[in-house]
Amino acid sequence: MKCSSYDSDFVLRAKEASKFWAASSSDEEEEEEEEELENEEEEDSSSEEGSDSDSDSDSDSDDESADDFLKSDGGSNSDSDDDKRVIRRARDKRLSELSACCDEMRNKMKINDWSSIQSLFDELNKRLEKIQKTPGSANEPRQYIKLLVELEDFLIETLGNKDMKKKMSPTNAKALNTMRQRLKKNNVQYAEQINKFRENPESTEEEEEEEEEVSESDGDEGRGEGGEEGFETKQHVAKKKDKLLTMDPRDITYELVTKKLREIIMSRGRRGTDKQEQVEMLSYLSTVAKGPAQRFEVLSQLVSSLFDLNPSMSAYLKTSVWKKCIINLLEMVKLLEENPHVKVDENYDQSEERTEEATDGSEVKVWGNLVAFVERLDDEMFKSLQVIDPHTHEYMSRLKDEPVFLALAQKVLDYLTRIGDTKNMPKIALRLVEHFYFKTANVYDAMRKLTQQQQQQADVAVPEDEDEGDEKVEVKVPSDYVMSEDCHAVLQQLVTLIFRSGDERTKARAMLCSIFHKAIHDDFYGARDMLLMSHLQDSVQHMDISTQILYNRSMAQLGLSAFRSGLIYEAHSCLNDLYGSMHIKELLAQGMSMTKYQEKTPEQELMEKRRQMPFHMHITLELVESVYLISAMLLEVPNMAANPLNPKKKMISKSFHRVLDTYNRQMFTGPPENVRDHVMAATKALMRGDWTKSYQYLTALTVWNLMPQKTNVLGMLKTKLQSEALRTYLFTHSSQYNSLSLDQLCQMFELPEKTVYNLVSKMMMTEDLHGSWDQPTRTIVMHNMDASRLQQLALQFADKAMVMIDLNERALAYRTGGLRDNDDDGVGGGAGGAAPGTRSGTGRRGGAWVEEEGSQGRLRSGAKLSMVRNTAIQGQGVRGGVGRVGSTGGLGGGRGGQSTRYQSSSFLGRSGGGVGGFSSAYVGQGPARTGYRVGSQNMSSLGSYRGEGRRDDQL
Amino acid sequence: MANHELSPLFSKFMDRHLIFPILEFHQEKGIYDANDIMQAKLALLKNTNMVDFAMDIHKALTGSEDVPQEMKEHRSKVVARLRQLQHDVDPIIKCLENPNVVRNFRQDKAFNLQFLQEDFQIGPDHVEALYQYAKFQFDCGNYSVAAELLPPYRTLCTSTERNMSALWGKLASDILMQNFEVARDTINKIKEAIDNQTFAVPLQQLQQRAWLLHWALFVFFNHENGRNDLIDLFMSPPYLAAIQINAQHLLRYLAFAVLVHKRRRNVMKDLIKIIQQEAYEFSDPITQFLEDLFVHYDFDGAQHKLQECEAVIDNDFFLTAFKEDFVESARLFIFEIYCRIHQCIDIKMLSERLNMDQDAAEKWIANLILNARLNAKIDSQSGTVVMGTQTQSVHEQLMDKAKQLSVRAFMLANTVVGSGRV
Repeated sequence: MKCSSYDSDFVLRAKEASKFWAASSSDEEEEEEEEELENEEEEDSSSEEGSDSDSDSDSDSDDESADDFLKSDGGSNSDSDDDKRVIRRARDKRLSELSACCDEMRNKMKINDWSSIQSLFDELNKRLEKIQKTPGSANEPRQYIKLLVELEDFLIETLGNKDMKKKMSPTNAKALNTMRQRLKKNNVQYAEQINKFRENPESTEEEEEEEEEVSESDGDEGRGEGGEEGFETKQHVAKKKDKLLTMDPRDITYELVTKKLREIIMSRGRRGTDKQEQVEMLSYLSTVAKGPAQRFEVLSQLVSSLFDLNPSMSAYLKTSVWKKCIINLLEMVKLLEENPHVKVDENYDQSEERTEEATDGSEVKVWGNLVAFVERLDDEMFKSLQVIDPHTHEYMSRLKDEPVFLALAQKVLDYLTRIGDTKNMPKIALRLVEHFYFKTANVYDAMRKLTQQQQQQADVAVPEDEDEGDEKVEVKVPSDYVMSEDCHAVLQQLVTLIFRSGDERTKARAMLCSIFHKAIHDDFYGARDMLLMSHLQDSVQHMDISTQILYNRSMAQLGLSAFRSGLIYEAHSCLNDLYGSMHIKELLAQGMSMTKYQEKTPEQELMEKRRQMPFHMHITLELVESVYLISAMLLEVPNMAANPLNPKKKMISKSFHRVLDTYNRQMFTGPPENVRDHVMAATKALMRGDWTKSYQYLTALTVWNLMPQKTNVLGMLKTKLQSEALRTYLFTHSSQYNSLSLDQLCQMFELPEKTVYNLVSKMMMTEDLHGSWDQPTRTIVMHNMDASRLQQLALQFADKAMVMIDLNERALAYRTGGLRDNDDDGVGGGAGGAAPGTRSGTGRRGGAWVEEEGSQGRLRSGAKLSMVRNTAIQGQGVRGGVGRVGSTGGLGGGRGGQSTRYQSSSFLGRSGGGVGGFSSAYVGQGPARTGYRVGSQNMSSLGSYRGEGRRDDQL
Repeated sequence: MANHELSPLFSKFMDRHLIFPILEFHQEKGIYDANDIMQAKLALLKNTNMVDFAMDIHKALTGSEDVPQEMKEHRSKVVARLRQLQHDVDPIIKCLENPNVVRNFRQDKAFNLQFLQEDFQIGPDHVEALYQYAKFQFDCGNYSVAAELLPPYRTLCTSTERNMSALWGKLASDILMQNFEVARDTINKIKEAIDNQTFAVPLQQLQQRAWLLHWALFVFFNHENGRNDLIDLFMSPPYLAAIQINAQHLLRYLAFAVLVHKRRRNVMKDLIKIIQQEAYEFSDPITQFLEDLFVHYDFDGAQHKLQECEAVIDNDFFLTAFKEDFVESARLFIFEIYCRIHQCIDIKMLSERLNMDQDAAEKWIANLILNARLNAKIDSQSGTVVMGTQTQSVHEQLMDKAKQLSVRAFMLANTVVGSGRV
């Protein structure tokens, strides 16, 4: 049946409508609606005699009308929300509820849904009872009577229409019958009113209206006495406001302002306080306040009230409000600058009475917390940038507000420096640092220009007619704010300040920011040393998530920077953990990827959303991906060629192998489309030793355009590809040659003779290539000792048997408690896995084990949200682990892991004196001196000597 | 830095008295302007008590007999202070000159102090005066007096910090007295003292290590077994860290010592790694030479660098004495590596590489072959050296492995059976 399907649809709609109704209030609209409905009713009745098709069309038209209804309603709703919140009286509310119910019933009537009508009727009667209980309304509301009349008419009509009755579903018919009986019973009570209504519907309406008006005024009075809290306050404020606003500003005294201010403070946060009005009042007060201290107080209250305008923490402060805040804050700072006797104290108790502004310049304490305000403003800006669509003009204009904020923060910082507040200085400095650190030189210059431009505009300063005063708030960068020309110097200065007096977290963040900054300015070594010396990779796991994200971002930049300087190995190890986690988006907080296997609760999702980076701070993921894959390719391809039988034996990059496997498994390989395809195609070419193809594939990537110094990087890439191709070629095909001519190799790989010579020599030395140079003929002579396949397999078999014996020995040793007390040939690490802390001095194997462990841990924890932290750390855990195992092994003196040991111990070694180095770089030198050593006083004169030394050099 | 001169860097890490010899050396070499060096010397002496010496230099510098008033004043002050200190220190020195007293000293410092107090009425003031006097004498250039006075002071001093400075003072005096044997012991003592500072600030420790490394250069390049000690000290992890953080230029000396030392080849690998790591911080011909040779296998480059090295070594205060050794070792290294990757070498080319004429080169190679350091033959007709290949065939490899296997399996089986019986 069609009807029933419409039914449910309508119930939904009706509910929506009722919701809207509940919110709307004005009586006029109600009437309009009613009229409309009446019209419709007429139509209805006229078409009633029609056939089946009629009823269909009928419901269609109803649909439309319902839509209209919703629209008009919605409009009124937003209207009422926008400027004034009217407190409605209880009766009004009930009445509107009642009429909503009536409307719903009318809707049901139109579709002949009697069962719904029945239940609605019950509800209607309940509502009526409630209305009758409220004081001042003894008789029934007009709408109710009207509905009764309509209902009666409709009932009779329906009963008369046999066709329709037949078509009804059994439940519906049953409801119709019950309804008939009930209505009869009910209508007896109101027979008189009904008759009256039928006689003269118009006049009753008018009467009713008059009556209502009267009752409204009555209600007002009644409530004024009864004392409903919110209402009273509002009235109170309104009255006072009038008084103050109308007063001649000259008559307003210090006490009056203080009193008013206190009043507002008291009412703050209470329910029913009109925040908007408070703001207006405060802004007025700030113009009439007497003396700087009071003015400061009023302004600080004003700023906090402005912050209060924001309904929830998750939404961002409106830009206009934000700008107002910043204007006020700038004024506050200016006040403090001009009146050094005013001291800001957060804990200052305001209830203390003060009757007159001190004029003699003695110290006055006022309440306020500039630092908190600045931090809040920064947070709000961050939030707004998170939410605003980055491809819109709005985002751009929001970004343009940054200079003002920077100016403010700088001013506050200056102020704090002046009063010597070392506790809060780092906080503000960090905020500044976090605005600077991700800017490349170009961006910084652009911003500096923007600032100057804004300042010039401020100088010209055409007073704009502020329309509405709300949307157009012009903020001017104070003209005395100078952005330093050198981004590095600024950052350096701020960071030094933070290191001197910041707390742990601030220091760590500042450190990460400067690492990031160094990395994007191509100072890879500087950045790396900072990272290593600060020990951050060990401690970052204990930090909050946003710091960990910052850490991940710095790592990513570090990797990119390493790649730009041609340090493939370093680039790979920086990015390995990020890319290998498969959650790079989350790790960098640049969007959320939906995964099949893990469900996130809404709270988790919200938290994650809150952590997102604004668009202008993003690191291009595609670039990271291509850099990572290319580095992995350059390392893996020769490596795989060196171990043809077991390419996964010494895996360098797991994720690269994963991608490669997927690529190999494809049935049909199309032309490359995305980054992965390109790199994989290049890999294939490189494996054949075809470097030109490989290079072509890689240059086709579009991400290179995002790379600064594109040509340099591509040039670097080309030479790397050439030499790796040469190595791969030699690995794969050396057994097929008896001798190879140097010139031929040079030609094949377009490399200079010297490079080829060096590369081949290196391979000979490391015994990757079994051959030697024949110098007079300029050829490589192969010592064809490369095994046949059978021999290779036999060797492998022997190796495996060896491992088995090792394991057996170990198992036995485990049982008997010491077959040999210390295994020294490298396999020891295998057992190290089972019992960490074995003495076996094998840095290499131990390290490998730790690495595995790390990746397992990653898999395990991948599902949780805490993964962000885990993966970030585990990566480092891996490296740290290698270091640790390596160093203990190294000290133990095992020869097996010597090469690794060295590496790790140097890693540790560097960090061993780390604290010292790190602080020496920033804090400067200051140990105690005694006479015999180069003392501090000696130092200065030596400085002069040193200076001379330099001069000598120039000579 | 022009011609890779490091002395400006040293000044940060050394005592002003220690810099003096280096300045003298440069005065002789004449890379720097003589006047500038004189100026530097003057600046150096300004805060010492060697007033007469300073006056001499001033005269030489200005070429006049006039001496500024302040110098004269300074001189009279110094003399007055010397008198004062001598007076203060007289009793304790007399006391210490008595061999019986010193013999009665024990390990316990508190006891010693008490003993002196009771028997000779020598209190802490006197001990303090002893220290001041020693320092004053040192500043005056009387290093021998300082070196004599400091050990007794150390037996009496209770403060670790003072103890430390006394040690430094002792080392400086030993170095300046050219008592390198003694200085070597002192270095070990200082090293111990630094490492045992449990509550020291890391920064301070780091700095002290850097100082020690620099001061030790004087000793190690003058003592007969110094290079060995140098490698030991420099390669020990905390000191290596100090080098990498604070004083990368010391890598030159480490590299030099390793290259010259014949029996410490095993650290070469580690050294190369460090050099590569620090290449962005410090790089000079000596480290570059090693890099070319062991990392890039660029023999032409190495050859070129070797010539530069000679110039650098000539101008280096510490290294200049070992130039011959260096060149010889470097040559050997080049040849060795060259032989390892070649099977046939033209002697003529080789002699060019090694900076020798052809006959000498042939003789040299023949000597090497004789000493069984080289598996090679000279083909004199075609003028080449043919290297013997020493590769192991797959078959042999396999046999080795399998043999080992069977032995181990046998042992294992024995143990299992044996343990089963027990």
